[in-house]
Amino acid sequence: MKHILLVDDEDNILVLFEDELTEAGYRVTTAGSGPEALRLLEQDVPDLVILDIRMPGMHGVEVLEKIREKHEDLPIIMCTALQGMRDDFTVVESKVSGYLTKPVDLDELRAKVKEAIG
Amino acid sequence: MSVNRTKKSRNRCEKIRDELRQSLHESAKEFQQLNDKLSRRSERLAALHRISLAANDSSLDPERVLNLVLSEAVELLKADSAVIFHLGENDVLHCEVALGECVEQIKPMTLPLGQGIVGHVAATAEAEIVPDVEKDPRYRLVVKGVRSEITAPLLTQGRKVIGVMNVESKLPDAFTGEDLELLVMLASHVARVWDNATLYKALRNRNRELSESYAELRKTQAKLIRQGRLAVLGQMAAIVAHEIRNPLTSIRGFAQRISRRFPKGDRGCQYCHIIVEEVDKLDQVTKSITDFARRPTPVPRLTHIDQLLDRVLLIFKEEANNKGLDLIREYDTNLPEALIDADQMQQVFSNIIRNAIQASPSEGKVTVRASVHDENLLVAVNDSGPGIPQDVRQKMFEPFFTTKTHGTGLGLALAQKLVEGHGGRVDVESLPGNGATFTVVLPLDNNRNTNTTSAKSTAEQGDE
Repeated sequence: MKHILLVDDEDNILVLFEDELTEAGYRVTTAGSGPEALRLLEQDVPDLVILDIRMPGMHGVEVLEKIREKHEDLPIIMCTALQGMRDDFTVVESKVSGYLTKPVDLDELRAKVKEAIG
Repeated sequence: MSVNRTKKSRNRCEKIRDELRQSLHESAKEFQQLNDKLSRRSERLAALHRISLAANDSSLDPERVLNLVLSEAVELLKADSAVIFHLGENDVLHCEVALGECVEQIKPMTLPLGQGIVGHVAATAEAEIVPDVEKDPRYRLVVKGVRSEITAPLLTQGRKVIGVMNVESKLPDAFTGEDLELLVMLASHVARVWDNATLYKALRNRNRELSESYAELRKTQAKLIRQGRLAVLGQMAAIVAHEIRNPLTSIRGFAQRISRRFPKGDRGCQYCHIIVEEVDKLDQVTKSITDFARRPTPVPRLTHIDQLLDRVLLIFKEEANNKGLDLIREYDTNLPEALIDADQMQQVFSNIIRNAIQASPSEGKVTVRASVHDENLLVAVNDSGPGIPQDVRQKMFEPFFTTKTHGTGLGLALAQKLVEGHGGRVDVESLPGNGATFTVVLPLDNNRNTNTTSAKSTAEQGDE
């Protein structure tokens, strides 16, 4: 069973994505912040990380950089609330597997995850 | 004896009488002279008083006062001509006003400081009588026949020479010391008038500068307010994006999940779809706000403006038809290709044309004109609506200002921002009852029409 780590400061979104992806047949772990996600990564490396960009404390892009220091090829999908932000993160773009724009359509969520890890 | 005595005494009487007569005659003459002198003095005093009044009358044009002084001088001094010279910054005296004979010859006259009698008086700041100009080697012949003259410097309160006043006569030795004194007094009035006029002019210039700066300041202030609003808008966009889109994600996602629990076609399933649809509508509103705050850099390409306008008109064709509106296009032939961001300009013209259609009554018309004027491409959109009231005109480019029930108030604000990003502007003309015309002015000069500075939005610079 493929393992997905969800990182978002919004509990409701964690519940939503966890239920949806569990139903789709994945094993899901959740983290409410960047540091928590990094701690979990120390113990268990997932097959995919879905990472919210805007989080209080450690910003999603900073979490991404930190993950990349140790896990160069780990698939990561960035989740953003600002459409069009991709234009301004071209540096980051090469390091991510895909983007999800909030409000996220659940069918699209499944499709993106499937595209990344099957 | 008595006859002799009588004769003798008669002779004495006659002699005394003659002497008395003589002395009376002389007294009368003297009296006459004194009287003349007195009346001349009172005449001069009266003239000085008139000049003084005129010099203090700030409503009078300085040139009129100077002319008055000259005419009084010519009359009182029984002179043939009088001239006022001004000492310019390069130490050259030139004629400011002249009165009397041969004025046309005197007027173009200039004299370097120190040269000629006038130049000499300007240099020494001492008034002078020249009884016979022919005997004065400094004299420069300008007007034929002048024999004598008096000249006085024009001194400011700080005793600085600002010019010279000169009075001439065709008679030799025509002026007395008293005349010179009068001239000095007249010169002091002229100097004061001049001084005041210069101060007044400086004051007026300063005033003009001040009011110009004030207008500039007002403009800057308006711009700052606008920029302030935009900055706030940028921050708001970020808040809207995160604080609204996160809950929207939950609402939409859970609605999707709930819908799967109902059999297809069930009311519950329908309800859930409605929730999803409404969330998508809300998301469109947040999108228009974040789009506005984004201010993407224009990507200019050579574009046929007529084709672009036709594309926009096509979008609105159905809406116009439904309303019975005529969409009229009047493009100049041979419009040049413009270096513009076609997507942004399509947005601009869409927003403006949409407003025009909404403002026009049924069976009205909307006219789109494209032309070139002074290196600018002009696209004017004219509607047949009621026109724009003054209070609306002042605010209509402000973000969130709207007169519609369902409007974000961002359409015109965004249009203006995008046009300004191209180095252009949006002009508005409106006569009440005569519709409104929005004119997009885009510079055709390729060097100017891209504004790449501060292209990133405030929302995205720090927040995400």
